[in-house]
Amino acid sequence: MNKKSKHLDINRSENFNGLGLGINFDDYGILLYFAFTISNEKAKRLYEATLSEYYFRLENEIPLEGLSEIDFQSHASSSSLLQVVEFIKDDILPNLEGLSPTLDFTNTWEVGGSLDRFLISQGSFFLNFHVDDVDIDGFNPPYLIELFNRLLSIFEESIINDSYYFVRVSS
Amino acid sequence: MKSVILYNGSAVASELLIDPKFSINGYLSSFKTLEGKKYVHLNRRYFRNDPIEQDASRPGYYEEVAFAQHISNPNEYPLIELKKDRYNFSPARPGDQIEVSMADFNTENPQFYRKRVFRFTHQESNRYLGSRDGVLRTTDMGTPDPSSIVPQSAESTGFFNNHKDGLDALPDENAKRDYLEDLVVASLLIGSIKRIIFPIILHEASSCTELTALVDNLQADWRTEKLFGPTTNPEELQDYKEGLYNFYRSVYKNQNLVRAFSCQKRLLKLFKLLPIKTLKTVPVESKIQALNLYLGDETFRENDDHLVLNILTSTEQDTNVNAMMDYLESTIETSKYFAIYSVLDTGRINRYTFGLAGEQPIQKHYVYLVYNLWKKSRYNAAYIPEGVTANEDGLNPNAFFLSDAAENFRADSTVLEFGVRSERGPDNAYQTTRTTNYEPVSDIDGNVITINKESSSTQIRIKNVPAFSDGSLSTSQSTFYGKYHIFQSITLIGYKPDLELTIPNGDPIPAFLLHYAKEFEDLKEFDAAVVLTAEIALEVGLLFFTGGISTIRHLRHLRHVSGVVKVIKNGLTTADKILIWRGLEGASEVVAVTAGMITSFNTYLASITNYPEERAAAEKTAQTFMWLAIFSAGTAAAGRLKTAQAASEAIDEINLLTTNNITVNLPTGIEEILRTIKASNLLDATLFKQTLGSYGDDILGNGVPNKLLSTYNEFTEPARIAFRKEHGLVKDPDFWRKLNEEDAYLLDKWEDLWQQMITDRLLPDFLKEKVLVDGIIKYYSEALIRTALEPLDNPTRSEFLRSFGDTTQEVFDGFNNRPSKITEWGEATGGERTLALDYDYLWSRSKLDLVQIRDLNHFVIQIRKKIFVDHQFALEFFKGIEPSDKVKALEYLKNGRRVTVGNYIEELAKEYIRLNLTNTEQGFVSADIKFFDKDGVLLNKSGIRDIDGLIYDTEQKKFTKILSCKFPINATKRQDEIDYLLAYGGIPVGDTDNLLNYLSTQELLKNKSWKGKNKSFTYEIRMTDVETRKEVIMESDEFIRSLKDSYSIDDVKEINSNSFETTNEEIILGIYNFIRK
Repeated sequence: MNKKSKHLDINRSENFNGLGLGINFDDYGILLYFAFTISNEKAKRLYEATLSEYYFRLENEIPLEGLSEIDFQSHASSSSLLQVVEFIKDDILPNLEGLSPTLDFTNTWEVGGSLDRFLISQGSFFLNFHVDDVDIDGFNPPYLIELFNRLLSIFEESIINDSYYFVRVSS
Repeated sequence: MKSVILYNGSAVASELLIDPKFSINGYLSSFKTLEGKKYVHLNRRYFRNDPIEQDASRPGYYEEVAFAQHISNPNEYPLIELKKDRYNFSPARPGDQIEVSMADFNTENPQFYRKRVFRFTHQESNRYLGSRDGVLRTTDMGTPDPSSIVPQSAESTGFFNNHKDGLDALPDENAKRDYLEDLVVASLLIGSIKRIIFPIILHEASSCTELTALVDNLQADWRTEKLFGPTTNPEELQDYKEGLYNFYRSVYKNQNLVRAFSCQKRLLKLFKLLPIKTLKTVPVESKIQALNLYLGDETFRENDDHLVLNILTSTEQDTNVNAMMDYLESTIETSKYFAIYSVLDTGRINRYTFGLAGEQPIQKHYVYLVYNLWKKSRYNAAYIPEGVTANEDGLNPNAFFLSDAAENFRADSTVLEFGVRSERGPDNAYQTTRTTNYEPVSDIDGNVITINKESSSTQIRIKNVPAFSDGSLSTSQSTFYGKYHIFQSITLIGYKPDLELTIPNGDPIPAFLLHYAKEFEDLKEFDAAVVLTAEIALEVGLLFFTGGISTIRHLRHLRHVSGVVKVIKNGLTTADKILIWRGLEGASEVVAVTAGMITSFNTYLASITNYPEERAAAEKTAQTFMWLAIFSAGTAAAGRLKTAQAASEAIDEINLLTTNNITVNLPTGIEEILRTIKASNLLDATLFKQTLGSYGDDILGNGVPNKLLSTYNEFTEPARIAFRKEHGLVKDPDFWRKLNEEDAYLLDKWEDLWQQMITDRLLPDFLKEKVLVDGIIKYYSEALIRTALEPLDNPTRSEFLRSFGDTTQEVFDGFNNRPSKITEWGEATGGERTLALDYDYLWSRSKLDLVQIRDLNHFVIQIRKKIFVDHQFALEFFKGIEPSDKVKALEYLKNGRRVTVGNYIEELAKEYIRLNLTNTEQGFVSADIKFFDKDGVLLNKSGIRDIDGLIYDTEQKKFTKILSCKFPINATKRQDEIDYLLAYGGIPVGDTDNLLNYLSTQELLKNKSWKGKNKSFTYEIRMTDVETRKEVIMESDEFIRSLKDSYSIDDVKEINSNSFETTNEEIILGIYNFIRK
């Protein structure tokens, strides 16, 4: 059976055709775990920046007040994004750039057969979602650099324009 | 010159014909010549029953002595010789006077034998036969002389007069005319048999006393007895007429042979004329000889299938039954039983009044009759003849298989267990369903039947196994099970039991019955047709109601169903009618008795007092005897119960009347009988109470008080009688222990079951299970559910109740709103039933059928696995019973970041799409794009963003429809589906630069990232075919060709929970309920 993966779209535009990032959840898990290896605390901020308000409330047991999975507006506001942007710029990207471009993260971290199980075992915010273990090999620094740069652009624009962006989970 | 008309319609000169005789239709039938020779008209049926002769023979007027010589000795007197004995008539000449003598069928004033004579002038051009029907046209014959009565024999006249009142009941003139004609012909045939056939049969037979006595009896019957009536079924008279004719012809044509027959053989020839009542007086040895003749002599066998049936029916006393059964068991090459079975006509008869109802194959009547004999024979060890004491096992010590033929009995596997069983493997990981059937192998060999066992097994994986898409494993095999003597008893268990029946639940049946009745319905009929066994006081009752000694005569008069129906209509309630009809399906004598009872009862009522109270008492009394009569046949406990109840009520009425000083004019003895019946019932009751009260610790468990008796005593009297009859003989200690538990809860519930006429109560095993008893009361309280549940066979219903008996109110409501779910369950396989139980909430409340539930299960198994294996902490959500936990759990399930919820609906969508495809459409789901680098290495194992569903039109060779599955997350717009599809279709092929440029600028794809995106060189589309459920790959250029230039929003169809007549919430709840299990 064709194994399916969830997709995460983060985009400046409500119609998801502006500046944005679209990845599957395995990529998402790898991306967050790299951040997590640098700082658990800051990674949690980054994680929250990838949540819509709906999912943020759902995970933190805050009354939904009518929000549902089709409300895509981001939880993070421009003010809270500053720390995240700094984290990417100052910690994540320099770290990534210092690594060999051919390094394979999955091997390095000894993820094993299931990225999902690996992440769950880390605790923290990893307990709040599942990845789908469809494609967990071959992640290298250049690819993560690309993903983080895209995120950086989205967050920076949001700060500059003092506006929300949009997060969509689909499958 | 005088003329007459021949059978072929021609007119011939008749001066030289002496003593001409005419058929009732006016044709010349016989005459003598001046020399004293007698010529008779003979059609082909009189000739030898051999194809060559049948072909070469000519109907005509033959000299009878020569003809008889030919038939008895065709070699010496061949057909060609017979030609000269065929009379050559001189044709009539114009102007000759023709005389035609015909029967006058005057239905207004039927008399025997009335004829009318036509006299008219022959004209050359005249034709006398109707061109269509070949019947003489009286319209051209002028006016007949006034009709006159022609004297006939006392037998003919007697028979006619005894039956002419049958005309009165017939509805119209045509029916009356037909009946009258049959009656006239039958009466004339009786005259001819007396005049022509009996002299042949009795030729030099003065020493054959048995034969002469029978002939005398028969003649007396014809003169004085009413053989059919009171209102005659015309078809039966017609049958009788045919029988007379066959007999007449058969003896007439074989007269030389018959004259040479031994006494015995002539007697046998006569058998087929005898009413069953008379045949009962014939010694069994003679009957066996008749059967031997039937088997050995094809000539004798002609038209004689009824004789076989009559012989078996008329064999009653134990010793005779055993002799007959011994004969059927005896073997030369094959058993006589099977030899006779094999030569019987395979046709059907419907006017046979005993045995089975409706039109049935003759062979079936035969098997049924042998079955009846078997029941009362030494081959059925459970039957204890009068005067024999049962051995310690309750069997007849003289039984065939216990004494001289023990080695013939296959003792090790006499129980054939049919049915379906389901069981789950370890950890409920898979379910195995085993079906067992037995089937007799072709013909009977000697007196041995070979039975094969057919076993099939289906295994379905149901849990924690992601890849169970086609995960069922079926095997089937037929193996030799055993060889059985045809008359040995076998026991069928689980043979789709029908609770109205006694057969299926362990009563032994002879093996040959299974050979014939492969279908359960057949067995049912065999059981339903009750047997004649004498019961208490029946004769006395009859004596009273039919006026003493005339009883036997009345029995003969009252053979007909129509008569019964008539009296029933006049005197009984609807409920009673049904029961009488059941009685009618039994033996003819039961019918007769019943009809006699009712008729006499009505007469009796009319003649007694006008006091309604007294009439009521009499009515009750009569009903007692009626039930007795009907069920004297009955092995059915129900019959005895009815009798006892009726007697009890009658006594109550009589007591009441006596208390009020009203005298009941019951003849001496009758009241006594009623009291005896009631008393014997009371005696049974007392003994049963003693038994119930005697159950102690050894049966009920240490220290457990006996609540059986006190609970039983609280029943109403009818309930007590019923319970005793239904379960009084149960010996199983476990049964009584279970019924006694919890203050005899189950015994108490039995009364509810009884009152609600829930037949499952008859099964001891059913009564033992609380979940079944409570469940069926609960489910049957809803009429719609009962209607759906009742048609299931008992094991299936029990399985349903075990699964859902104590289900939640929500699931129960689901069944009540959709009773069709129960029907669906009844038709489901074992594996599907397991799923139904797992997903009870979802399945019972939605339109999702079990196939769709199975599809959903594919994915839910994975969710559950994730929760239980990878995500231990989530367990608390599902195990907890706090409402807040349930809310959390439900949120978990619809949280798109936790589970790939799209599959919830996409799995179902496969089946939904498949079912909605037209002939020219193919359906696909999960169409996703895969990129490859120059070396053909796949860059993205997971897709980029799939299209939920696509419909491909094989005529247009295009994807014509896009499907969007929205459940439970509705995260995309319909326009998105079009945009992505066209985006994929717009990818340039064959030029790396163009392709990369497109990927980095196309509105939707530029934001998508995947490893090696900048190395993308080519792509393909992978999707799942909904019919094969396999992945198919479409190359990029073919994919591009298959797209339309543009799609409108109307090309996109949504599949959501509404498509399955359910809601997102229902599905989430259903899955929640499943996962908690």
